[in-house]
Amino acid sequence: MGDLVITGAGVVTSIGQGRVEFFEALCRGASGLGPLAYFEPRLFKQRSAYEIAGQVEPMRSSRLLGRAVRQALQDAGVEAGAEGMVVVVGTGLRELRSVELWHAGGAALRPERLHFADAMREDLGFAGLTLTLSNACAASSFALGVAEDLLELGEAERVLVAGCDTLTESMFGMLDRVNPVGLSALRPFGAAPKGVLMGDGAAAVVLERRDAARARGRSPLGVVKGVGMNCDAYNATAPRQDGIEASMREAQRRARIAPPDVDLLVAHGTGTEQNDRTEALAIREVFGRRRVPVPVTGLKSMVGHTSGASGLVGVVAALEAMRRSLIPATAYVSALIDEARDLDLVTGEARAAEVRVAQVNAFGFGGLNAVVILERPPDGPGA
Amino acid sequence: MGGPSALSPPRRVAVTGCGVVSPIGIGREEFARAFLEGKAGLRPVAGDYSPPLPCARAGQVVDFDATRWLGKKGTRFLDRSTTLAVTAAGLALKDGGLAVEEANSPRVGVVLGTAMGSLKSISDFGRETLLYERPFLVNPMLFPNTVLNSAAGQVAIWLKLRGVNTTVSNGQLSGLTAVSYAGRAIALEYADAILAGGVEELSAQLVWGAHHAGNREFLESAREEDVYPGEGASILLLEELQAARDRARPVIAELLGCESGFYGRTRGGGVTAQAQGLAAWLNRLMRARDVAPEEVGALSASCGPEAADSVESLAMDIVFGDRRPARLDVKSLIGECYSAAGAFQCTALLAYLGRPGCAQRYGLVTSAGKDGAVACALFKRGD
Repeated sequence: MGDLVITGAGVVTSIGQGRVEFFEALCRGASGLGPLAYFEPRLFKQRSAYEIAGQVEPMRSSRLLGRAVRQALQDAGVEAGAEGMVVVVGTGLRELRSVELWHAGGAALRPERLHFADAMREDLGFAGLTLTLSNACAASSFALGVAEDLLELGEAERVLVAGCDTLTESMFGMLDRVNPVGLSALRPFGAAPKGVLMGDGAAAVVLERRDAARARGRSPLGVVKGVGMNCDAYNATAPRQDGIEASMREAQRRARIAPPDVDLLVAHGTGTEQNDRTEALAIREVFGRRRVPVPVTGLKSMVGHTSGASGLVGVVAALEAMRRSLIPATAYVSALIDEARDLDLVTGEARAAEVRVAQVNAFGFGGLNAVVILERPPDGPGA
Repeated sequence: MGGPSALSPPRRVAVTGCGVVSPIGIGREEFARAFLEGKAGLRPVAGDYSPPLPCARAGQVVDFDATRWLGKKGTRFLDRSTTLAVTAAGLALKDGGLAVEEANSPRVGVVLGTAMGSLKSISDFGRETLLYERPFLVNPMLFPNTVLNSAAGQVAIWLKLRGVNTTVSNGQLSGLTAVSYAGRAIALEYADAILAGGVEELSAQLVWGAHHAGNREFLESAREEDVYPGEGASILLLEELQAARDRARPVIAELLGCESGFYGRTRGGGVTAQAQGLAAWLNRLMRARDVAPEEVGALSASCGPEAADSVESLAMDIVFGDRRPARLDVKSLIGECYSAAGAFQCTALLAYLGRPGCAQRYGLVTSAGKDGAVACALFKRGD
């Protein structure tokens, strides 16, 4: 059947939108961190977040999603209503913020709008099936795995894969209880203070078979080699090292590659003590215990933890990194946690490096792990 | 990088074992013999149901003593549907001669169809919260039985299966959907072997629930013998075909494919639309595998509720005209086993194709739900 390729991508984050603008912002070291705008800051000890500017209004997730989806469709040169098009949206909290606004102030709420099928159909003109997956912070990477299956089984001609999440007061408040005082930024693998700050974000890609893309005369942005998905079956919130290792190995097994083939690892890197320690140890275990040769970067330092969107936000960044042979640096990190001392964490300036194969990690609450392996199209960068 | 493409053709799936606990026998051979002889499993209701069942007869598994199959240890708090499932799963594994050890355990899974879990456990537990002193002095040991994936979880625990673990709730189609899901999981390399099927326990809650839900034909149809309630578990051991051959196990059948669709009232459907939909899926299934309608020896139908009966009859007319294959009605022997029905139909078909001197190689299984859902599967007899 041939490879599955990404022919278009879109992204909306606190540092910019559109894959090109977004990636340039990443490589500049831009940060979307700013004073908390959507909630009353006095209620929280943490008063900054990675928000996308806009009005306090319902249906923001759907709107951000719509922006990313339109970009991806345009980038890929396909119509929403095209024959055989299926949509898979991964999200942690769907339109929970809309429910909060309804509860707090009586903003109108249409329950059927809480997942995204209606938005896709009515606002964007998709005619076929839309699936909304809610797989916590690994959701959009799971969505990519589902898309891969749909294409492999011949259930879809083309899949629009997306992820989106916006800050919710309840999630922000919950994290505020566990984050330490004085957390000024999200520092993937960085030394204390450790904690996570949430970000608004949406991303979308168009996935299709290579021969279908070729028939339309489109050159792919990247090849999806495999998605490894599993569940730790261990703890409701804490990650588990062997589960994370297994998901990375499964992704590499499905992609028919070995650890030395990976040229870039976009880490999940949420900045929490639990994640960073566990992920660093798992990377060491999978890639080699002494000195880990693969460059690692943590994008959440710049765009925050975009929850269900984060996996696909990482995928879009990795596509651009492969095309431009450039790896964005992790911001806000100077000293590393002990467990990450052996990692080649890219910090300071963006690093020029050839990236043929990239791995994108995403790990969610509930022990849900999804790891994506991407490959640069053989026709070379920028083709 | 070399190596095979990440998208090699989906792997082929074999049935190498069957485990059955049914009103007409326990174990594959006993069930097959009873089915082919047309042994009646519908008998006057025995035992105490509170309140008494609103039907004179039922397909009960009368001679089932869980401790005989599973031992006394660890079975005290398991409900009937869980013990039925664990027993059938163990029999399937034994029938297929598959040893689950540390090395292969992460690649062996379980996919179980159950529409509502154990309705009796759920309602008994809920009742306790009302009967006993507050704050809710209920027996915590009974809580795990109330969740839908109790049976799948216990199967994994008892048989040490650490791979894919999925509970499928799809009404009367649950059993067949589970087989379909498992087949795809193996084809797409998410597991190498899966115990897949369905389970249903007879309880006053379930039968009265169906009665009050207006399923009068469940009890009062003109074809009474078809629609008495039944219970049991039917589980297939599915394996990657080459792996089964490599370990020199007899292949009972090959699962060539599954399809499903929905033609309910919300989509403007009706019996005719549902039948046309089912016929289209049957045709697609056979065409994809180059199987001509006249090569199909038998169709194992869901019968049951009258509407479904006519859906399948109409679909057979469309697909086969007057050259109909044999129609297998296992339900007339064991009753409406609801969640397990589709899995029992599979086992019945395999018994039919496997009978001595059977010249036919292909068989179909169909399910048609009252809600408008349809599903079908195509099997080829083993060599």
